[in-house]
Amino acid sequence: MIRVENLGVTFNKGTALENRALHDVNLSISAGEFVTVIGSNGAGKSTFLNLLAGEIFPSTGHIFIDGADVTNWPVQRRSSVLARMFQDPRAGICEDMSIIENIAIAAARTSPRGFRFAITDNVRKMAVERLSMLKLGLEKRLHDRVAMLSGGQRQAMSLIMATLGSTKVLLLDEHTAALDPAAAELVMKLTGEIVQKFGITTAMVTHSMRQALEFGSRTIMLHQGQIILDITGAERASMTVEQLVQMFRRKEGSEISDDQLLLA
Amino acid sequence: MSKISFAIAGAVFSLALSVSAQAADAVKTMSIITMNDTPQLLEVKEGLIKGLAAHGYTEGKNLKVDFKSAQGNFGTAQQIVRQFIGEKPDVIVTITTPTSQAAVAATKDIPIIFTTVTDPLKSKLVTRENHPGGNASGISDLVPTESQINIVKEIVPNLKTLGLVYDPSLDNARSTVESIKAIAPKMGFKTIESPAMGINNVPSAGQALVGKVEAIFVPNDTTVYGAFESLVKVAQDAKIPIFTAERRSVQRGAVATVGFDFVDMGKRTADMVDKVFKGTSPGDMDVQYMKDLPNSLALYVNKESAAKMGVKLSPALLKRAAQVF
Amino acid sequence: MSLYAFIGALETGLAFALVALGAYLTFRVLDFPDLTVEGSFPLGAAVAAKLMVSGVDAWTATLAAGLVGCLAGFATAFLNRKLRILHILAGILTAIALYSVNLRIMDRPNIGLINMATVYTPFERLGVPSFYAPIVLLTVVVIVFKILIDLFLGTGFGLAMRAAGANPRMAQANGIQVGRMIVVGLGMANGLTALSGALFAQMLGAADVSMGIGVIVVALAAVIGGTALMPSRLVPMLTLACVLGSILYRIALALALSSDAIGLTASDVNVVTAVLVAIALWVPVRKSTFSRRPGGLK
Repeated sequence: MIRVENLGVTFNKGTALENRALHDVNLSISAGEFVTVIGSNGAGKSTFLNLLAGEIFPSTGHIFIDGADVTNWPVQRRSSVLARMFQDPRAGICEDMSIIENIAIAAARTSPRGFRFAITDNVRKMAVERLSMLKLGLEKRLHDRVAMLSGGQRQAMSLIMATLGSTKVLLLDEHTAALDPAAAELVMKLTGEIVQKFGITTAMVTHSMRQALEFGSRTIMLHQGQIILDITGAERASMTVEQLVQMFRRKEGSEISDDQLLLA
Repeated sequence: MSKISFAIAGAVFSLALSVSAQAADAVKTMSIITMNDTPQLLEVKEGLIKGLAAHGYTEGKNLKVDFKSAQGNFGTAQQIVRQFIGEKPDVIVTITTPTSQAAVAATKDIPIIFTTVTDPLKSKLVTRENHPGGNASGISDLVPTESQINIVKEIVPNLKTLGLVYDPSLDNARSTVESIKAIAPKMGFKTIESPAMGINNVPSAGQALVGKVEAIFVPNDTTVYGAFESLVKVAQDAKIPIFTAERRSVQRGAVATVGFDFVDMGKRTADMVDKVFKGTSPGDMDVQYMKDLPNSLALYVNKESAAKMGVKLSPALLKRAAQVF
Repeated sequence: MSLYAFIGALETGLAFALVALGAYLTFRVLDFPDLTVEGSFPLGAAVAAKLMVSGVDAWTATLAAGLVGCLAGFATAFLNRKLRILHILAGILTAIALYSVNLRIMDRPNIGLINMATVYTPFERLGVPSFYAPIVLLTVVVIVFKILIDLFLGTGFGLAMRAAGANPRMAQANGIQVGRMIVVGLGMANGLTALSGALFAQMLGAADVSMGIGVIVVALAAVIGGTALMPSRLVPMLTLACVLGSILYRIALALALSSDAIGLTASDVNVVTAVLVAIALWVPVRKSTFSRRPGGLK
């Protein structure tokens, strides 16, 4: 579903601030896989996600999604095959508009927008159906402004929005990092359930090693712009955080200096 | 004087007073609207009040005056006109073209006297100048361009190119400029236009002409007059004489004009208003042109400024002048 | 205030309500402070007047004016999107350019329209007194466009436009071409403004190249004042607020002009406007202050 060849990006090339944020990245993610991406600050994981999403363009390499070469596609065009969730609960929604209006906007992501009314009975029905999966009662508050929702509720709603239509790929950018522990847990649980239910290929960037191992079926670790670990299957299932740290040390010959990575 | 003659004189006097008081018994209301309240236009209002006083109307006694400026805002002008109409004054006096158009469009009943309008026909205020019919008539401040140019040529005999500084958004100014351009060929000179879009651009409009013209002419233009001193300075530094179309600007530094005085124009407007008060409909009054009215044009010169601008005024000219600043 | 002054306020308020609706689309929906209005308002007047004195009937002329106004909006959008000029500056640049364009169109700074057949003439012929005539037509026009805008903002395209203004990043991530939304939105807003200019010129009796001065402030006073007095999140209520705001502003102005007791003159219009907007902005602040009292609702 997602294939990345020889991907690399260098910022400020030729200047004193030159930064090879990512280089020689090759990766293949099959349909329906849930991959967690981990790495310390500066490792390149946000850059990687931004490249997949289309917010930045690579200096080298290609990106293929569902067979199509999307390397040069801008954000709007890529949204026809992928959806993205941000860390800031305010970033993924229009808070001055109502829940149903936000859903309607997301619902049209994978289909052309016309001059028909956006909020039809079909859209309403679909909104109720999907939102009830969250079990947060949002389906009864369709006309409430999103600004009235809590951070956790907003992220849950964003999750539903991101999985509407014919979306095949979901990119999660530390989407629970800004929530309190209870809300974060709930949203993660919902994430797992929903992507599995709809068979959505998912790449989740997380800052927490624990979370990276707990969710999904495969974990990739980035360090200094390259993939240094890629574990899946039985090996991953039984792995603990300490073991993961050991693996890192062996590969890199250095310590993980990022406390948050270890303790979170 | 003996006591008896005193008494008779006193009786006759008070009789005369009471008779004139009878004639102007009812309080007349006049509503004045102007688009801008620049000093030049305020002079018109001043003349209007003075002129009416001479006809026996005193503000506060038998004359009520409501004066409003639209501050350049067309929406406000529209509302002011509507408000005036609701108050049903005896006459509405409109200063400048846009307000005149607004008033004429808004009422066919209340008498309108327009003033400081350059081209009443083109502005569609009246359909003809003689006996216009309808409820509007007034005075045009059309500049007698040929007389003006004659003076320019008299004082600057080597005139080859005349610079024209004006604000192209002002209809009055543009009309005058077009008129000068039209007579330029037969009078033997060329023209260069230097538009000033707004008061801040006035000095640079003048500077753009330096080295290209032998004289500058400024039509009646509230924008340029608003920054006139700055233009005068540019002209004095470059030794280019400036000529204008009315009196006050000569006082402020223009070399000369065969022009009229805006206070005087106000007084002539008052003459028409007086007729309206006495019952004549504006439709029965011919549109008047200030330049054609008797004694309206006079030669005004500024000797000091002329010297600074490098021109000499002949003694014969100075003798002809009605006023020398 | 006389009935006449009130009617005048109503008429002027309705004529400018279209500009207010345009300002709602740009300033509020698209979050794009569009100052093109100072140029597109007289542009509409200029186009309509020029066509009318050239023999075109008033209705066609007015319609044409509206369409040409859209072009002004496209110009500003082009400056902003393709040349990456800041939105405020883009609008100012277009407005400045339009000043010269308008002079060109009219060939002179002012075209008189008195005693010509205007869009209001048919109503006068029906026997409606001439000072009421504009109200009938303007009310219909304003209502029609208000409803059209309400419906439009409820369509998929309109909703996308709202998202583009509310959260451009989210909109993009949902496949919305933000640039396209801006082009269409600015086109619509300036088309409405030009239409307003054409209608106003026929009411005033002239098209004048300086007519645009102060229009944006009046439009903003209407939008800000109206939405502050009638707070709502629903689009139909917001557009209604803008229309009412425009009318109320004119009425307040007429009151200020007519009450000599306060001693205000027309020269104080700008201060009056500022005070009105300030009061309108203070109202919601006062409401929320109350709710923060202990025991109050939160």
